[in-house]
Amino acid sequence: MVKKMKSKQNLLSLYSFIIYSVIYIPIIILIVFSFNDSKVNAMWQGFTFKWYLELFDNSSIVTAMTNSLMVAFVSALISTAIGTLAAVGMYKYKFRGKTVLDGLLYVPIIIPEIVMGIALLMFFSQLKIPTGALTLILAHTTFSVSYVVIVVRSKLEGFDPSLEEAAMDLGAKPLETFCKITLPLIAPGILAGSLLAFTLSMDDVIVSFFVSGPGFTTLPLQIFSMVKFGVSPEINALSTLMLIFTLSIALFSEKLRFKSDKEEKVKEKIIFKEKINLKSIKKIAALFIAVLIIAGVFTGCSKSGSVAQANSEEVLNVFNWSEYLPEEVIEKFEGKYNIKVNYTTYASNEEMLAKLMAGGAQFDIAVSTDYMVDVMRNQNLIQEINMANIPNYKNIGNEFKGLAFDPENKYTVPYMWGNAVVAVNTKMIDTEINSYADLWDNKLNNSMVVLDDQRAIIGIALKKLGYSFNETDPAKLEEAKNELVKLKDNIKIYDSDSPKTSLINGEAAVGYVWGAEAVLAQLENPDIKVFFPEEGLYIWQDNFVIPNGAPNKDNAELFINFLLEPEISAEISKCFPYANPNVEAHKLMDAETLDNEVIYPDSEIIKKGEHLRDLGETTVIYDQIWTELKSN
Amino acid sequence: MVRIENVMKDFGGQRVIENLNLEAKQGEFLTLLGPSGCGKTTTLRMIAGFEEPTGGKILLNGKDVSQNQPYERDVNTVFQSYALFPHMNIFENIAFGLKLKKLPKDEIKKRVNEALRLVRLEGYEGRKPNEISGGQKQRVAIARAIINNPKVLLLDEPLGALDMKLRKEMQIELKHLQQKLGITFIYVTHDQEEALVLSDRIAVMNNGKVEQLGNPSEIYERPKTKFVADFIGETNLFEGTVSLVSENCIKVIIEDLSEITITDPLLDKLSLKKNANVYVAVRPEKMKLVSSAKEGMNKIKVTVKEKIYAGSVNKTIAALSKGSEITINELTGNTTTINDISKSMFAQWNYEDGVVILQ
Amino acid sequence: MTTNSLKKTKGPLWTLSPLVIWLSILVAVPLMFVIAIGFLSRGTYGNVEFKFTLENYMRIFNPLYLKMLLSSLWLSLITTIICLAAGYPFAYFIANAPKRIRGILLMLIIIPFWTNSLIRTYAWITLLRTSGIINSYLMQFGMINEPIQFLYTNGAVVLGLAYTLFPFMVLPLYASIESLDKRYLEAASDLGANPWTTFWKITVPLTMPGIIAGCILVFIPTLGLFFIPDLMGGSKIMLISNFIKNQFLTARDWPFGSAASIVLIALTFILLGVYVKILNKNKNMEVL
Repeated sequence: MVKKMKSKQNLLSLYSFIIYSVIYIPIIILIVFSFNDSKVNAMWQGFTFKWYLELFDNSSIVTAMTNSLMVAFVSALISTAIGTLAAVGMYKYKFRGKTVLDGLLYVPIIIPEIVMGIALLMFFSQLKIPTGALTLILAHTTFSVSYVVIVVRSKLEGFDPSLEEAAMDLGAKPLETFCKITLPLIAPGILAGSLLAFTLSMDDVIVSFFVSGPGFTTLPLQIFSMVKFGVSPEINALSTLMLIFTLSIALFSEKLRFKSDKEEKVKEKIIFKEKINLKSIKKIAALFIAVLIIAGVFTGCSKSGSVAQANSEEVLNVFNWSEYLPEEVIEKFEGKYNIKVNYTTYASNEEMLAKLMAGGAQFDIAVSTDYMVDVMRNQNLIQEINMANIPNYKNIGNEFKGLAFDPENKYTVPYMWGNAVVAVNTKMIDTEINSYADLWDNKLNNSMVVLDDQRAIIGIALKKLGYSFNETDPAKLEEAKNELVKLKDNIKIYDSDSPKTSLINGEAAVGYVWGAEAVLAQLENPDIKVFFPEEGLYIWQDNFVIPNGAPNKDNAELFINFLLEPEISAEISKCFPYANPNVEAHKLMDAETLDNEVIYPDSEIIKKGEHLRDLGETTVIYDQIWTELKSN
Repeated sequence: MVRIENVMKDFGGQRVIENLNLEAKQGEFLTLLGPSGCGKTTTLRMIAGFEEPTGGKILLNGKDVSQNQPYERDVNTVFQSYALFPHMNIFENIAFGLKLKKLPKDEIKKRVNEALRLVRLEGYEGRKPNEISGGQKQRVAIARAIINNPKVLLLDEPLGALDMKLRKEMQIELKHLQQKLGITFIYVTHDQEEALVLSDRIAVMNNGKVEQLGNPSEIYERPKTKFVADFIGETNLFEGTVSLVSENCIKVIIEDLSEITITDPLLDKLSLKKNANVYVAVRPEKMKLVSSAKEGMNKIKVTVKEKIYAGSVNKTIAALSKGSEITINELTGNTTTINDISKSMFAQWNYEDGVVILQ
Repeated sequence: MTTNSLKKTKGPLWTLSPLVIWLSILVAVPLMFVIAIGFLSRGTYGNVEFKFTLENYMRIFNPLYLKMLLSSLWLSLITTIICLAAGYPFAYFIANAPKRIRGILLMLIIIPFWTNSLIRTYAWITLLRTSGIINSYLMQFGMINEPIQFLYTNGAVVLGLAYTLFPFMVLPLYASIESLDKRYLEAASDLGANPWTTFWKITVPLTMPGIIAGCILVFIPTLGLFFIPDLMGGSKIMLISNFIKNQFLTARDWPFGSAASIVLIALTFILLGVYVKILNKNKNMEVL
């Protein structure tokens, strides 16, 4: 029998080897790209170590990683303990309400993460528990514990109860029986469960976004907010280091174990299965602890740095878009005013709003786009700014003040503005796109990347029909929907985060993208040409707002004023290709930047452009159109 | 029926079976008997096909099956722990082999019912394995194994987990079943009594080798090696030197210098030379304890150490002058009840009751 | 598999109390919030108005949403089947590997998943896009003339989902295959079952708890992994999770989003219930 079995065993080994390869392919890719000499994670440009060096300079990534490891370790530990106990209890005993418990157990797995995140944040804010490490651990344990129970229970199904009886019979008390018999026998299940819990926690974004607090961010959150500019090579470098670290610890502990096994074999010749299982548990625990110690050392180092910097009571909690403010500027502010800045990021206005609505009221400053200011003001989420504390407000150009969302300039201070344009890779497609209507051309079949944004996309259909970006008439919206159904075949990708990547590497020939993205794409790929559709541009303006209940309002105003200093404002503009409304800063900026007509279009073009307004009830209709468009 | 030719088996470089030759005949009840670790279960597993021999051949009905998968062999096994499929009920467990053969449902039903009747388990078909007792599981395991009409049934310590009374009952039942079915049984056990009761022939194994093959009385009465004599039943072994080889008897001088006479008609006297070292095995029940020795029997002088009442027999532990101990079993009621502890007495037995074993 | 006598009503229920307390505080209470919001109304600016209504639940049964729901479930089902088919032999391999390397084999699958899923997804994109590594190699060796479009297709979405959730299938499968008693396999083989039959009649039924656990842990999360369809599918497919996310974010319609979540939970429970029922029924039907 063994001969045939052997060939089958070989086949199985080969298969498993293939599976391992598939699992590791993306990992190898990211390792390779961590040495790629290009900021954009698209093409191989040459070998470099610089991302590793930058990684060690980037204290926020290192801190986020140690935070993540800590949260993952603690929540995996708690959920494994609670989950294992409960799995054993549920397996052994019949009790009333078992079905209810079973149901509750599945809720955290089924419920969409965003709902869980918002519900938990509402719950914590009702109880006045400040968001931070504690709330993250509580939330992560909550969704991990269900996984642990399910996995451990599936292992228990094959458990022989007579073994426990035998142990009791031999004089073991229930607890001893549990520890010495039950636990070792179900150890593979516990191990599997705890590994899942750890993995889940290390990878969670949505729930973490809502329950994290200012100054305590996790690695996935950090990464998620950074991908606006494509995957940063630093993240690849970090992932590579973490991978090598965990792999080597795993292999090392394995080697140690193998050695001690051999010694023991000489001693007693027979090795019990339970012993092995207990050992692998011990080994994993050792691995965890090693990771934790390293994490602790890391945190210690990075903390001691920042503690020395801001050893004061004064803090400022900033809630801003990711990749929107250089770290050096924050450090300058901290150094000048001796105020510790807790910087938290989000990827969309809507995320920011949802977090504030659910009770994340610990922020002193948020940055909100025009239409969102309407919403926040109407929901009473923001308060008036004391302009007397912001003398630099005079530096802002007049055309950016008194806009429809804040006609009396009471709630907002402009930060940056921009537009959405059409970008064409002229190498791939030889056509001029002077109007939105040109996007409907059959030639563009399956070749466009467009913003994954309902207002922008429904908006261009409205513009094509000669209506406004802010149309509320259901009949006109219906017309726009019918236009969009025709546009669908031309759209290859919806992407708001980093549409430039598809443009640069030729995945898409035409893009309807943010102006800043088009500028960055042009830097990488000179074949890309930008067009301003004649129907009028989509123009946006981001503004500082101060949420209601901000604990450090004075510091917030101090910070806004600081950012409006011409030198500082010019420094920000140097890092990010958005249009700056600070006219005083223009005097300090490169002529090249100011002449870039994608960033600063001609005033005629701007005049034809439109800002978005909140549409109240009509928002629901937009969403229905969007759902219909995407589920066809 | 089953022939094992020069079979060897290594486990991780360690030889567990050494050049094994064994044959089970048609309709025979052959038992592999030995202490744990002697290779008997490995031999059985090689016949079943769970292990591949490192060398040698296994022939079934004259055909070499060494390379065949278990499911390609016309043998079935009753496992030590029964291995009843926990997710199937009794009926499904027994019907498993027949379903694989894609027999019509009526036929399956008929044959399963027959098998159930054979093992006296009618009415249990709907139960799950964990809902029946150990003895019942045992019968299900047998029914499941015999329903395929195997040429050979392999049984791996099938009664090991049962209590004494049940075991005795099942022994008889197994014996009857084997006679009724008329198929070859190869039975593995470490229980020598069970082997003696059940078997047509017994192969006593030790360290991967067959020490002796023979019918139960041969094994019991005429052990060929010290191991067999020791392993089967109780035995008093005397180590000694041959002092005389004559036509109708041999004499052996043992440790306390007394001379024992053996008149064994089957003894191959030619292989024995004067001064050869031998063992003499005498069963305790053949011995008698007397205060004054009779002539015409073997006698050795002993001191009584201990008397044990064991139901049907009285056991006496007695020491020779040099200190080694022997056991004497006498039927209860035939012995004097006087307390003779510490007394010097004689152990006596007939000349024909001793067995000479070559060293 | 336990004897009935062991399932007592008495006994140290303390083992359950930590979980019960944890779940009732951190799951039941927030769930109450969600249920309550589902019966309230959306204010003009997306705030939640304290006005009782059943309209949110009515709206879900709009064919538009049902269609989206069905296609979402279909995608989850395919992903689950692929994970199970790919994961079972793999888990079998690990569970049957020599004990001393089992631990390391297990660690080797889990460690890549400690790398952020978003990063791994981007790595896949690098590999699969038209100018990506696979296409370049295929073209270099003349196997194709035009690059193949792997990305932004349903296939890419399924690949991404299956890849991300693979360990959730393998780990429970491993745990249950590992505890499978080899004697049952020998018994089946002895009774004439070839390896294929043994696998289907013995191994699969006996490892069913692991299979079920794995399927649940893959199927349900696929309903919620919105960033895979966004990144690998070019955001052209809307899964139920994308939809619910949109309700809470872009549409600012928390009541409708809450109602949809409750319906999703109820629906999943119904599916689980039906599944368990079918499973039990099958068990009984095996009695001729």
